[in-house]
Amino acid sequence: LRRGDPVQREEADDLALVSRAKAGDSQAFRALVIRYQRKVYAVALGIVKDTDLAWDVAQEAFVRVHQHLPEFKGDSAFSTWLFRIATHLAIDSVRRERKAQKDQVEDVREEDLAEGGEGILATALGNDPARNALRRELAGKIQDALAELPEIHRTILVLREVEGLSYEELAERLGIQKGTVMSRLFHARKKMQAALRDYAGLAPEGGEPGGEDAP
Amino acid sequence: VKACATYAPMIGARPGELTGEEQRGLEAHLAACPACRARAADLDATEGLVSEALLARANARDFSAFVDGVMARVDPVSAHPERSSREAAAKSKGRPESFDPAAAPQRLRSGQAESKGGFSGLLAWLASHRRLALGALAPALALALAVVYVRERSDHDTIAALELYTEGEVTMVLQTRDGPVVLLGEEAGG
Repeated sequence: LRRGDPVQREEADDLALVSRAKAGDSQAFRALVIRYQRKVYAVALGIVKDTDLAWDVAQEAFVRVHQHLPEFKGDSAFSTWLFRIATHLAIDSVRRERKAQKDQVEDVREEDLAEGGEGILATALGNDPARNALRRELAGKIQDALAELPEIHRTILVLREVEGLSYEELAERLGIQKGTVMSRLFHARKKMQAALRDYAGLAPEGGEPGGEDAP
Repeated sequence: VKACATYAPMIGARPGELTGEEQRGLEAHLAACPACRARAADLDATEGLVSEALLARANARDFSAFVDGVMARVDPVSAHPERSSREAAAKSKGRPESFDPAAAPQRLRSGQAESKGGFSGLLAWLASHRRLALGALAPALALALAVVYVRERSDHDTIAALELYTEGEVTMVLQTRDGPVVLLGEEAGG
């Protein structure tokens, strides 16, 4: 009855392909790889930063999925399961970076609100984001901006914005509380927006351009 | 500002993600706080940028080698033998020809850009990739006479050595236990 829903239709297509792949149909598995390869790569790239490592992570994710296909019961969507594996592999491949960044502040304190309340990006980007030249320019800088973020902030931004996870799913995937999901996203976005303001040469009123993490 | 510390992290929540109490508190706060309204406007303006940018990167890359690389690992029998993943990988932007899908787990485990084999591994690779090795080396070596002499000792025997001579042309000589082996490209060797 929700046959018209593209998401539902896609999930049903996935399950049909998974079923054939489980039965040994390699062309069905091939179709699943082709369907998701770029998005899995995009998620991995956002987390690991390096293009070759992202390629390896994405390929390894599909290999692991193939190995464990018999165990996939369809309790969640195939894509959810695939991205979960890819995310774990990506995080695992940069785990040394995480160990070095254990002291990331998760709370949102008053000093964290010192900037970002000026609406500078909203003003510069205007009301027509799809056709905005500045937006296109900033999109070209996103990978550099992401690379400047600590791993936990890259990861949560990518999972939220590329994979589209909800707060609840983020909490479950990352093993943190919903409150921490919100505050971590706040810090990640604050840093990303500061980086974007830097790239665009947009300074807070009366301040220097940039000023990421200014007290 | 204290209220901002509570409500600013809730900005950007999707419908249903906040409790009723959180939602009502956020709405009341936004109505009263210009700074948080500006934060919300910034978030709206940049919504989707990360996704667009990363997917654009993925879409700009040649993925023709990707699926063959995966299939070669999961189902070697049905992988296309005439178009090995190694050849296909070379076509992909930025992929080193030497990338071997089977080496990927090793690279992931080590977190290094390249896995390192021993010198004997290099020799094995050179022996099976003569044309490619010559093709890659020729431009660098074509202008000058160069001699590279590398030895690897095991016990007291020299088990392998590689000498490269070039004088406008490239000749590679592998010194093995069985004697010197001259590696020539197929074009040069006829």
